[in-house]
Amino acid sequence: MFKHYFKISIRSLIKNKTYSLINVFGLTVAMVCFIFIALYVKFELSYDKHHHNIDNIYRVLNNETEFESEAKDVYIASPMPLFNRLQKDFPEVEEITTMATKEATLGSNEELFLANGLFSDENLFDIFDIELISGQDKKALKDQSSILLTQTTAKRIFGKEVAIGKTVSFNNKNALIVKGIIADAPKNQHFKYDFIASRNLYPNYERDVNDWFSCEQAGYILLKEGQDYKALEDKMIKYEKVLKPAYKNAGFSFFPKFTLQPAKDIHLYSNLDDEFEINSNINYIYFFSFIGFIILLLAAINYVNLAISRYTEKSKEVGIHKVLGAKKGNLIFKYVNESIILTVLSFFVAILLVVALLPLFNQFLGKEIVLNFIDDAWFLMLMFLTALLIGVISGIYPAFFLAKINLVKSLKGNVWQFKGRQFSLKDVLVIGQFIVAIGLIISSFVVYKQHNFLTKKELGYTKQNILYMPYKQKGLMAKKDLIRNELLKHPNITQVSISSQLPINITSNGPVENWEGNYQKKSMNFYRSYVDYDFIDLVDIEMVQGRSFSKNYATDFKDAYLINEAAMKKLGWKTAVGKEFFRGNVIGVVKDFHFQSLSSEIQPLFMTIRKDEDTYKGNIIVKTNESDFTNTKLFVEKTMKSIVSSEYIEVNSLEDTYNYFYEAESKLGYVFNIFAFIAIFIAGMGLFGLVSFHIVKRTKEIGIRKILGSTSIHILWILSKEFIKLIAIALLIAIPIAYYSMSNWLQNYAYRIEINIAIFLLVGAIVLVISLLTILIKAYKVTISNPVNALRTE
Amino acid sequence: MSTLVNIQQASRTIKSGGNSINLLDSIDLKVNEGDFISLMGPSGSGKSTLLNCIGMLDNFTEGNYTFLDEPVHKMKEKNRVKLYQEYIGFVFQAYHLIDELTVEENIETPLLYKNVKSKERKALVADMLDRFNIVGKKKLFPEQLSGGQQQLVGIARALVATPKLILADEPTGNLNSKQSQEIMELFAKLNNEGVTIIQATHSEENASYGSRIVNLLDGSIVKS
Repeated sequence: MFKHYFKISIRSLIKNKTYSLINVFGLTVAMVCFIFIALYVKFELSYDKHHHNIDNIYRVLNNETEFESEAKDVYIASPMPLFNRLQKDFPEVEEITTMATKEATLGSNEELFLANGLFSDENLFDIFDIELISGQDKKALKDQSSILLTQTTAKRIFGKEVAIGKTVSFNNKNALIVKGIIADAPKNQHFKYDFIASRNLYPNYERDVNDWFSCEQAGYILLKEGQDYKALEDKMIKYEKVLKPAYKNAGFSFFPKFTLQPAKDIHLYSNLDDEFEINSNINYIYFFSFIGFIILLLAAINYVNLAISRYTEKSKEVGIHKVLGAKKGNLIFKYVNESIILTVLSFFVAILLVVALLPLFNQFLGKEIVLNFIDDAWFLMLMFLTALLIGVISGIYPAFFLAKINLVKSLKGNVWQFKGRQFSLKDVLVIGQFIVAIGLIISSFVVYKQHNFLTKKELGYTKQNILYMPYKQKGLMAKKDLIRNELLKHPNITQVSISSQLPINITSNGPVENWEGNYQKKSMNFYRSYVDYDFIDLVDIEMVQGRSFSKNYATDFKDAYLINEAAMKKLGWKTAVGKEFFRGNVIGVVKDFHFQSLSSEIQPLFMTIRKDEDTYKGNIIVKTNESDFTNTKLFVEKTMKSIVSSEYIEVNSLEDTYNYFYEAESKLGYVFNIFAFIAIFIAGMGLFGLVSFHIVKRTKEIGIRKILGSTSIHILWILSKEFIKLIAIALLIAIPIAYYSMSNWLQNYAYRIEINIAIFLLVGAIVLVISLLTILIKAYKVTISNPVNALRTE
Repeated sequence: MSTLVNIQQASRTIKSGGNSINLLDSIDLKVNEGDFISLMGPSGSGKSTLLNCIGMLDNFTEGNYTFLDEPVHKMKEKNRVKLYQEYIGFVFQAYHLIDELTVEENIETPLLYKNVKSKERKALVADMLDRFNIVGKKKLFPEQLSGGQQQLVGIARALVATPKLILADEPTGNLNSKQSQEIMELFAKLNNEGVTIIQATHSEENASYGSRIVNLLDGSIVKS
């Protein structure tokens, strides 16, 4: 029986080429989107899951907390002595390791290149699953004359030769012996590396290893099975008790509090300072999954619509099968079978397309997602089952409908009699489909406009022509004048500032309780940035009241504050200059600038001159008068190396960093537009199919009308008006829904566009024009045909 | 000879708009095995409706209908389907072959629905092809055949499950006179071999092949 139906289905698909193509094409496009999205989601969810201990691995977080205000900055690096004690102090800690990444020059003989290094200890291999290809892993990290290379790095240095036992030059200083070859770092792991070496090789390790005030390494602990990390977190408060007075005595304005973070959450839920890489966000996952299902749904609706359109034709077939003895079950099976054949066919085409397009997809998203037919068998199976499910779902309604129809009428071919003006399910589905499509078009318009608005929005500071070097070194400040003078010697360097933070991302914040007029001793949260005299001018922040910091005023060093407009507004002040604030007085107000993502509202901020004791880390910021940095960059590197005797100088462009930070957001907007376009395309194809069959059904009517003297224009109108009605209804329903949900979405942005009526008019016009064009193209052919042909149907 | 079909005082009334329309009115008809009955009458006289009711595709709304002594009017739909699958074959004016299936596959279809085993199916289909002299055409699709040949396949398909009764609704309506003659000669031959046939027809000539003529007018049988 199955074979029989299979034959009928296949032959019928070949016979009705337009119908089959529209369906296969629509389903295929939808499945390609769905599989891509599923691959992306799977990839994002797979981060770090290959470590068999992953459920018990936690990262130690360092919450640098200000004494005065409890303001917090969370970092991934903590002091080394903590890591040396954790396991001794708490038996529930089974294993502990540390990690820090740094670029280093590697090579043998004459060829040198920059490689990403991971510096750790031998426990790394007990906590994380890092695949060893050959040689040794654990032992190698015990001594600092060894190095482990990834396969790619080994190949780069030694080509086809055996690498183990050979020496590699490390930062032109040490000669390290290759002890082992490890697999390349998995792309779905939150830390990456080209080589792994002992942490003793990390700069200043000897200095830091017993220093409670220096934070360079991120600590990872493996908890014993069944232990609660929250309980351990509570016990770790004992360090805080000791460190708080110690940090105070050492002159710091903050002290560390330690908390734990599940390692499996890092990629999707963590966005801290100094992450090993820019992490993703769980919301992207939800968002894409939603779009994936919407597209699949559209394709399924298409199928149902097209299938129902063919009832007249199909009902005769149903009648014949019934007369020949088919039972209802047989017929349902037959028609579900037909839709399954279509979906399965589309599935295989989709898989081929996915394989072909995957490199492009990866390139765009900057991922390295692979689809391996053996490793991903379960995934493919799941996709296949989804396809089957779509087949069953979209087949079952038409099947039941067909199986039910009256036998005698169906054989005469007059199942469809005019029964007055009433909506059929088909109409409801068309409306539904257009609601989704229109909703998506409106949404993508809004997303696009909002995104455009944000990219064009004035940040309030300059990010062009600025280089910066992050540093983390005690005592560097002692040389700050030397650094400034040396750097300014270059003709292209116009200004230098040494400040705690970059204007693109200020996260440090905490309460302030003292300001003029605060009689009730209220507390207010302020972001804060510690700067020097040149900062404001260098990054071009505009003053709206008072003056900027100046060396001409001795008191500026101690207790002068600049606040932003947002702060002034929140404090309820009309003027600020001279008013008491925090531990001093306000000397000026800066125009609001975006020191965080453009999606968030500008928060109250104060800036004050940095005290030397707080300066063990920060950024050296350099302004140049040209946009080609190459030369300047080299000069800065050379100068810094000569002054601070550190080989690790990283010079970055502020603009590049900015783009890197907000890249994900901009890509998301772009991807959304692509998917919205595809959704519209699928809906349009469905319309095309519907119109075709609708017109075929009315061929006779059109013939009669022509004989009675109708003009072509009139006939076009008659054919179009029903669809126009459906689209109009869809517009009426979709617009409020889209308006409501997009308004909601825009609430996420502090600075947002207004959704104005023009968007709706434009979208309505676009949808109507596309639909009418589709209808006209199809209808035109019929209206110009000879009515005699149309009436000769038997 | 035993009675195959026995209809007593049967009517079919449908509602259209606000009015009741009597499509069939108090029909009495007895068909014995081996009969070859021609239903005649003008368009709209109820020939097709009566044929459909006998074939159980439609129901009488009143009266009694027994088929092989089983009361059809009291049966549930499911049992009725079983009954006509077992004993009745249909032949249509428009042939109603399945376009996507070859001649051979078309003939095989009723056997599939009766769950006949594959081997037996093949044998029965081969018999039919032989009997109707269409072995050479078994791999062709309906659209590759002439009208007469298509109707031949239609009859072969109706006969393959060895029904007791063939119901033919204007079997030659779409055929030219030569093809019509061939089909009617085939019916006569089948009737001689013992197959009971009821046909609805306009043509006196076709009716002459049968053993009995029943004239219908406005839903009632006209006494002759």
